[in-house]
Amino acid sequence: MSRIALPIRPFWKAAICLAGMLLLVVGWSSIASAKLIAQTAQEGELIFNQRCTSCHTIGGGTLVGPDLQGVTARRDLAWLQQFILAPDKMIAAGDPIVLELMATHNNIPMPNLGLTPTEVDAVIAYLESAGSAAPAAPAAPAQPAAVTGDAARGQMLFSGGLALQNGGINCIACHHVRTTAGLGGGTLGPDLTQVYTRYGGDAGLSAVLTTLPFPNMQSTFATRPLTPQEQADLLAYFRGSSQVVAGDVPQRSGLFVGVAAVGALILFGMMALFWPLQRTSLSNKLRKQSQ
Amino acid sequence: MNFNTLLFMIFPYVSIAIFIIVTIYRSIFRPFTVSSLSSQLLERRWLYWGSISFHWGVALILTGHLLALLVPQSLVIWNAAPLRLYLLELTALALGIWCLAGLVVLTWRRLSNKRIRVVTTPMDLVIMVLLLASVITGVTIAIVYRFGSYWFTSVFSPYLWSILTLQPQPAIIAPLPWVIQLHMLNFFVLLAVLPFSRLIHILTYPLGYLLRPWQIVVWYRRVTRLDPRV
Repeated sequence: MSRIALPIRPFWKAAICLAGMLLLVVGWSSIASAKLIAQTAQEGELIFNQRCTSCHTIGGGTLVGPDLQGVTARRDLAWLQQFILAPDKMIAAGDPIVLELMATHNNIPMPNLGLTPTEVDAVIAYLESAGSAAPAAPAAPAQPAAVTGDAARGQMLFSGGLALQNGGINCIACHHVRTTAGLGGGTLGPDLTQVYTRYGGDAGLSAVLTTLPFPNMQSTFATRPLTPQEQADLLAYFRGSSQVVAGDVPQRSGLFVGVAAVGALILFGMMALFWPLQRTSLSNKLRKQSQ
Repeated sequence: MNFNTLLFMIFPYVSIAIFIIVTIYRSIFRPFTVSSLSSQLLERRWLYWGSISFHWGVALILTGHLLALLVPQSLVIWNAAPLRLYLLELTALALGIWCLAGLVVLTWRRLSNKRIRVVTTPMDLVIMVLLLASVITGVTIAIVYRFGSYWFTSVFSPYLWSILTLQPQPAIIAPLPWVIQLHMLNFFVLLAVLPFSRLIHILTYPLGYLLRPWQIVVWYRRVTRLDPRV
């Protein structure tokens, strides 16, 4: 691999190759992204079926949220876009229509779905086409199933003793419930101790458990939903945990960091033990020998 | 095109392309620059406390990340019992803090020691900042957004595989908190910078030493100064 064997100085060639490759990659990825962006009402239907049907019907009556038959005629386009894009912001801003809707629907807030503006437009396109077409077959979506839940099993589903049947990860990865012993649950997602109350009891929470429409959960649970039995068990578990007084067992961030910091100190302590065992350099060895 | 597409779909491929092409170019045409450029001869004491903790910490943590990427199911099974989950998370955070402390020592040494400053290149400062960003965001995530060893398997494993199998799904990580996205983005920046910097030594493994005939170094110069501290 000596340099004499390679008579060319290929620096500029390599530079051109690199630039070409970069152009190719950028061009190719933008084409791919353009394809992603091509959303249609059909895609809106897919999104609707996956993310909305746990709470809404089109012409099938009120579930957790209102029936969306003719909603595109009832509301402004801009209002719809804004609301579907970020319901939490509209609720926080105290939009009068939203507040009125919440008052008539057990005060259950619509969760933020994390859809992109293009996806929102696709959903609205679907609502428009489906809502005006026919008040057709109320394809009754999964109603709170007639399965009785077991809070103890729910607890194991939450903290990992039981694996989720369709391959989702257990709730403790991201969520905390105040009754969890030890270091508690995860903190990527919200504390679920009072989730039963927050979502308005059985009807609201079981609807949410059906599809788990939250943006960070969709990457897993869109394709690996909870089974009806798991939903019922978790519902029973959360019903129980909501009766726990807030602050019963606090989340132990301090303990967690403290123990890990002690661990790091121990590692430094071990390094101190190894300090005299370092190999001295040959020059140092010779210096010592010559003394 | 939004930032999510730009930073987590296009940029990763740009970064991987730079990484592969420049690494190959450098190892063929500039083989003698592939080195970690040790400064042990210039300063030894602080290096011990910084280098060993940083390198062991980062190597073990990177192994953990790699494990979660290659065999996510192993972590899911391990984490099924809360006690095991806590043990893994505490160990990982301890290693993270150890590694961060080491990196801070190394940074301080590089900036404050005159002899080290002389041999410091601008690129050294660039990778120092990138490494600090990487480890600081990593430790922050471990503390604030628990339990990473568990949710990595259902967020980052699918995302990274979507990139590696050329079916990019950057939307998976779009809703995550910005610190986590920064940690991911910072990795791709590091990957792109790696072949231009001394970080390239990550890829060297001294297998040649196993086959090479051994050498004896004999000194005949008279020793003039006796200072074991240097």
